[in-house]
Amino acid sequence: MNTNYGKIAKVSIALASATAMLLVSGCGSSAAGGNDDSSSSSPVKLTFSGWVPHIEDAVDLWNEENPDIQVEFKRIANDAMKNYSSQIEAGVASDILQVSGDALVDLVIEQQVQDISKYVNDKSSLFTESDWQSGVFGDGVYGVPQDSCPTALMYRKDIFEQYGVSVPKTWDEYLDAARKLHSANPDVYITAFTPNEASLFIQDFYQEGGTLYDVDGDTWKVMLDSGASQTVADRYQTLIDEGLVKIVDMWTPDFWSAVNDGTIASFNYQAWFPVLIEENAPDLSGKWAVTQSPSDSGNGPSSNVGGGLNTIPVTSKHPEEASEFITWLNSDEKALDILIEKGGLFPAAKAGLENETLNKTSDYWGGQAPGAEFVKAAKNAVKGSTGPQVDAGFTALKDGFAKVANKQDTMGNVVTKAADAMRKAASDKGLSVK
Amino acid sequence: MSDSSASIQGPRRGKRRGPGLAPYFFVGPFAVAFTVFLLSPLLVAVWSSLFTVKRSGLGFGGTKTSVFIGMGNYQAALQNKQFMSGFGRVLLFGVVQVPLMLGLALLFALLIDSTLVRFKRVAQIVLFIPYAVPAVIAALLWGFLYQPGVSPIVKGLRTIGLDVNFLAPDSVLWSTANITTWCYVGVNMVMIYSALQAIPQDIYEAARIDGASEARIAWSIKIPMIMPTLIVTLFLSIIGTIQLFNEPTVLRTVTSNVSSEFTPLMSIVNTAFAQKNQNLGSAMSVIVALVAFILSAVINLAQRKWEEKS
Repeated sequence: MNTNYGKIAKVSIALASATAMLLVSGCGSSAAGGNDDSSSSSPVKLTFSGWVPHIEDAVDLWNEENPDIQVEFKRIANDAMKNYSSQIEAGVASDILQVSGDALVDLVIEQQVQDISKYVNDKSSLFTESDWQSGVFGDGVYGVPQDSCPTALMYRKDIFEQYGVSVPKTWDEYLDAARKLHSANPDVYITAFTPNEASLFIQDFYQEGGTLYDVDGDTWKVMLDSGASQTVADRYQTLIDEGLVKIVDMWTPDFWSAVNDGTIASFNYQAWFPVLIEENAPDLSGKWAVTQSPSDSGNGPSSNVGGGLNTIPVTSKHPEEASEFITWLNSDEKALDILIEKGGLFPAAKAGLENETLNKTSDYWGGQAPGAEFVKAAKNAVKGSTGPQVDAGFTALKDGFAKVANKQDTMGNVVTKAADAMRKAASDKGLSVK
Repeated sequence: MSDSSASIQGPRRGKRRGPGLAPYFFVGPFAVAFTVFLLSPLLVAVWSSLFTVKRSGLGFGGTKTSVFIGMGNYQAALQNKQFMSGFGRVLLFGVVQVPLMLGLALLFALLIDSTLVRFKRVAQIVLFIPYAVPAVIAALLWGFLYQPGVSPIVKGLRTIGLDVNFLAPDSVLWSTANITTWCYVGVNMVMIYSALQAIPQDIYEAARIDGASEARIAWSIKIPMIMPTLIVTLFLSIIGTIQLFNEPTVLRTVTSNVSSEFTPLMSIVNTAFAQKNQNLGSAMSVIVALVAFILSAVINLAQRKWEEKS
């Protein structure tokens, strides 16, 4: 057998150089956003991950007006927030991340986002007090608030009129209205019970003065199973037991077909929901109206579950420029126009509350200005505090709601189990929780 | 004769030329890839499962230390009721779905191989096409076919008086089994059919001369001769079942009756990524790997015993 060593040598040199080229190109392409160029001639490049609809238009506007700081937007699904931690660890996260208030706490605890107080402390007056606080942890500021989620009651005016039911102002009136509607027409329900959405429950829980967490010195105290939650749980249990709510998962085709055929008569829900009703039920134009949420007293308060923020991971090399951009994005008039009109957001910035687009009337809403009702609600809203591992609590709530929908458990039990799940998840992370 | 040829040739030149370094070049790339992508992550996971992270105070700006806790994570995982019931669920799923699917695949393969079926090629392609559909798309497709508001199947059944709920808490596991079966019957059928082709035809002739019917040939000749292939498909199906993830996760978007920890792998994804507890997630992954390993060993033993018997 002739072993040609010359051939082997050639092949191995070829292989080695190919491998070397692959390795080098691999290193080059894994650079996180931003370049190290400190010369003034080339612009600072930032990357931005988020999911607000049409936010690209705001980014384009910034890029036109700021040639020295260029932002590249990467659209992601909001589920992809779960990837942020791994991305930051791997060094491939964007310079700016859209994040929910609850998820931000975990990122701060993981020490994966930057304290930008030295760049934005003087900007706090641009934003609503409670929204600004959602980015403040300890002595640092870890995000600039983008939007907020006050609650109001969106209802089918025509259905309520048809059955002669007056629009409820208190929760007692709400239960009566539910009974009246359903007995007038068994195919009509005052609202839907959607096991896959925890925030509907959380918003009512906050309205009763509840909070997810309290801080007791150095210990986190889970408050999800405190008194306020039992009030809300009992109310939901009554509605379910008496068959007064349509049980369907939100965002499914089943859900929207129930909305469209008038099975669901109202939603007590958050400021970003009107846009979605308009998109998914275009034939119902002119039939909807908005009013303040029902409450115990009849005069509010409504609740605000808190919205999202823009935060800057520790891996970003340009926190100052990134802070400048996110402050502009969330407080500048022209940017707010885009976020409100096309993004459907309810702004955290004070200037946003006066915004024309937010307060304009709409034919879909029978000539009413739905945004104005939410602005009114936002001025008299209560919000609970968040803490670590809220996602574990919400997931447990959702699993539990499914059981309640199948009559395999009660709301009261489910809330207690969810609180315990949150305690366990937080203590598994090595925190002191009770 | 041989003596004279040896003396004519003279002493041998140089040492014996063996294969040299060539085998290392061939095995090298695989060995590197195996080590980097399979072995190292496995070792990292096992190492990480022995630790946990302790934080001070509220966690803001405090210290974060990795603490060795030995079997602590494993204890926590085994005490996690939802994780354990996830195992129960996939084992129940496996006990029913795997024999059903492999039985169907075997039946189809035997039918196509026998003289009873025409259009063999078309039949094979039609049965194989579901495998070519990406798993997530297949699950979405069936998800729509299960939803009462939009499904032609549900509506059709309703017109003949049958009110079926594919997504009820009791039925959603079997609806998932339906999707998995639909996806993988084809590829198993093709594997079994290929094995059947390797059987020499004269055995069949001898059997027919002896008066055996097609069914008898199938039962007594074909099945025993393809037993190794059947064992392989059993193997692969069981490992696939333990790792059930795609179909329940997709169905979760259309019904809440699939919980967040429906299968062990969903628990792991929830723990490692949603709760960001990678130490506990690693321990759970090692447990899943061990269960798969044990089941594989059991099948292996059963196969040996069967071979010894015959």
